[in-house]
Amino acid sequence: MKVRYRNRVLDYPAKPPTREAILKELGLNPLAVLFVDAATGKLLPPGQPLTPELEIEIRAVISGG
Amino acid sequence: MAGCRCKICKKNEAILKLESYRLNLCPDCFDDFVLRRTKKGIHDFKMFGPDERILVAVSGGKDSLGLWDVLVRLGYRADGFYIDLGIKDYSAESKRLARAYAEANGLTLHVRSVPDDFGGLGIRDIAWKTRRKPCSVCGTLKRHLMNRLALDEKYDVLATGHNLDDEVTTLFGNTLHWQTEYMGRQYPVLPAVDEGLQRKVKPLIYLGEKEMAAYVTLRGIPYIYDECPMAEGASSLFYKDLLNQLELHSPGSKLAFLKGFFDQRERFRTELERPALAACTRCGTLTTAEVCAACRLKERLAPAAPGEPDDGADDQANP
Repeated sequence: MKVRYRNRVLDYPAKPPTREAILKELGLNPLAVLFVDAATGKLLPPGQPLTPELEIEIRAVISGG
Repeated sequence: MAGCRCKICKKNEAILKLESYRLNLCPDCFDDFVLRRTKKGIHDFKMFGPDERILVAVSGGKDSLGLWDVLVRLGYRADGFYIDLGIKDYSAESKRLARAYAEANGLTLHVRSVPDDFGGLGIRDIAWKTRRKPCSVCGTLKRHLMNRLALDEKYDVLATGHNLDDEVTTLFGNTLHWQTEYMGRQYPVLPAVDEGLQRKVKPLIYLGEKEMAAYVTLRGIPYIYDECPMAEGASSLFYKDLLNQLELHSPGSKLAFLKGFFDQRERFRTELERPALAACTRCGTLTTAEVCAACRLKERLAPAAPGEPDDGADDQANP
């Protein structure tokens, strides 16, 4: 499973981790991101299991200035 | 199906987890949630009526495009206004997205350009030449141009995409520095002043960043994901991170903080003695000074006035 966040790509060739573990590795707050299925551009349902063939885009939602 | 069910309809698969509300929602119930929260904001603060003409400030981001979309779906007469800030690729892409949304939905989008008004200079150059922070220059010029267009085109109200996170962050920053004068002015509705300053409203006051990003994604509205390059290192981004940590630990804290402030706001308003407003001697915009902040910026760019150290004091005082 691949996870893209901005210019970072995390690869989990074996067993995919949980969403919480991915966010922890990236140092992200779940309130600050959306999980998107990179293949379809659609939101990844919270109950959908993460599978090895999945490619996820973690999209930051915070804006400021 | 391994997915979890929507907590409201208990029928469809949930598409989104809203940590602040401890809710998992399906697309239909989430869509209804966003429309209802927006309506509640408009109603609670008496922002505008069904027949008023609304000008929506559109940046090409999730909040402004989402706001425009929600208002049109709720049946309001809402046109858009995009300001090209002259930030190279970022402005080009955000303008393309704002135009794409307007065209796809048959809506009117007004476009103005900062470089056209400032001899080809964009926000970065103006900030550098006047020795001010880019976000400060941007705010000054946006407020000026939005108000000017709203008056010229006879819109009743000017709507911006400021959301719950934006407002809580502003309140947090003002509280941290005890800027009570700014606190006295912070409210989702700023009434019109005479014939010179148009009413300003923030209909997304009850919706957070995550909700708006999810809304435009579910609606299939393309928006600019990238943060404005000028905002890098901004205090507001740091504050938002802190507030999200608080919210995750104690869901509902952000809304409670803001609502509590609105309940107590009169205390700060009494400290506010706004100076008399008069027409800017250069452009006619109402201002607290002889020359408005936008015209002063123009004058500071002139060769005879090579920029003085800036205290930023006029950013909030003069539109």
